[in-house]
Amino acid sequence: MTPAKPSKMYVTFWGTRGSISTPGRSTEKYGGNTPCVFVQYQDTNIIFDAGTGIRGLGLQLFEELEDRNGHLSLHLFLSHTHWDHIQGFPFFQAAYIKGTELVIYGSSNKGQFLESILSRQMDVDYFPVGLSEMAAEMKIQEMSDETMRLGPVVVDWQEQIFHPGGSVRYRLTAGGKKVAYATDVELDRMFRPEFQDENSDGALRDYLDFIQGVDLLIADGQYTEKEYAEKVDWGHTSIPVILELAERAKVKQLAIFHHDPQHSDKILDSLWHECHAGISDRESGMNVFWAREGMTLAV
Amino acid sequence: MKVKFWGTRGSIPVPGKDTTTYGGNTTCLEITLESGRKIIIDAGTGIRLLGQHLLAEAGKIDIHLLITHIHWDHVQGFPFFDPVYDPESKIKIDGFPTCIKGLSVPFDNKMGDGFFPLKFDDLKAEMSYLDTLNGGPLKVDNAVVDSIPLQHPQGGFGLRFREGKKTLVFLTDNELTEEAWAGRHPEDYVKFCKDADLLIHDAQYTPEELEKRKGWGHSDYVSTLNLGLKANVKKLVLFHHDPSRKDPEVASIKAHCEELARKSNPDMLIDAAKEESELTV
Repeated sequence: MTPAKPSKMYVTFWGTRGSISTPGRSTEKYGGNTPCVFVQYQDTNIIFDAGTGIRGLGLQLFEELEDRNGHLSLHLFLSHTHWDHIQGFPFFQAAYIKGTELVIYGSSNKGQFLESILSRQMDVDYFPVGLSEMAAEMKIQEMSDETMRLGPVVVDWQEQIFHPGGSVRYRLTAGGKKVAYATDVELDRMFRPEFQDENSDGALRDYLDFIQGVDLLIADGQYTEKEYAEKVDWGHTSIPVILELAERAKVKQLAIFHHDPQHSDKILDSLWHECHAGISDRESGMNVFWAREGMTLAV
Repeated sequence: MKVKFWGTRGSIPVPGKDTTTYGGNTTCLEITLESGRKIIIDAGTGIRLLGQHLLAEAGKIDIHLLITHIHWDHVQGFPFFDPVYDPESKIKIDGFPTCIKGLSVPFDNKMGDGFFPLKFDDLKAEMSYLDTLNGGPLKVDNAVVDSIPLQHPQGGFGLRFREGKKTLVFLTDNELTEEAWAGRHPEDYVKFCKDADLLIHDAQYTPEELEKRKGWGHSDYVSTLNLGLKANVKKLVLFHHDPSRKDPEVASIKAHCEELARKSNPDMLIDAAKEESELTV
């Protein structure tokens, strides 16, 4: 089958789990792989994060290689380099294919840090294959300009300070639609007066501007309100806060993402029910769902 | 003694419906001695649920943690092992000489350089490095643990547990090859495993796959079976399943081994390691 030439952004979740991969029966529905989201718009291929989910994506891309005229051109945007966002990279088969063009983007905040941590993950002591042994034409690029163009896709980005070590959020604009990927951020620290500091107001304004009216927001919603109380400063958001902020910014579809490792399918189902029980009170009509591994959305 | 599998998968955790029988978590085993003492082997992702289980079961943690080697899939679960955050926990660590380096590397040891947002020094448990196995056997209550170097890039230790008349051998990330690069020979492993009641051994590849993966430090299941047969072990458990292996494929590898063994030793029991299963030795 030849991949269609889509006029939409096709967004596929390959990994939705936060912190650590959680294999087992209790996570079959929503998935146990750590973050990886693939967005395809016409011939532009964009990957967000390289958690364990990127292994499956790599296998799929390899299978489709012939349909893609034997050539892959990929843009991998890293939100940050905590393990759950890069640990699948050594197992990304596409990076072992000679001729694959792979550009990896990340924060410029820390000098040569991005390249050094990717190399360190594949240091001989911890992994038998080195970064330099990957056959793809690989380029590691720290983000510089505020706005980038990848063919018909415009990529905007912003630093997120409310996460230990920082993280980056991204927004894609293509075909008149917008998809934002903003995970690993503690919105409660920006929004709830009892947790705010002097940076909160500015950070909140930037955040709301960034996600304003997007067609799809993929957002950190790791905790319930009760769980958050025990996890202040861990860098993740409680569900009621992301619901409130996304609605305020007139987001059209909200994918709750970066599921807590303790949240089984049963718990996530009940969180969905809880959320939708209250939704008739909302005027916005925002569609809220819990991101599920294997799910593809056309935006 | 008893052994329970908390992680059976090699290389990388593989969640999903294809791995729910044999398991998708990376290496972690729980050994319970006759005395009741627990010895944990390796800190792959399986150690997360083991930690929760131990805290729920015993409350206070006083365990040994033995690390075979420090490739990611054997240490990556450590930051998620809840007992390390409990000041009441006592964890005695031993194994391959680099084990402390391996357990600490995920952490953020210099501001912002880590794969995980906490410092190793922030861990609350009382952890000590015994540094015994590198020089000789380790005695734990009435059990004796000894080690053998592995055929694996960057090395590692295989472990043998003897308690009373029972022997359990755990050898993972071990390539049974004639052309051994560290001067080892399959016969050395035969001696180490001789007459064991239970041998748990790396069987990541099929013989066909191994052709392309020589020197990666893993065995094909036929070599593993031959080790079990030559060493006359009572039971062989295939371990470190390849991430690409789906449950029915693991089952058919097990069946193939049984068929092959029938000719020379029909009494040897064969199984493939299943997450959450427990065996008594």
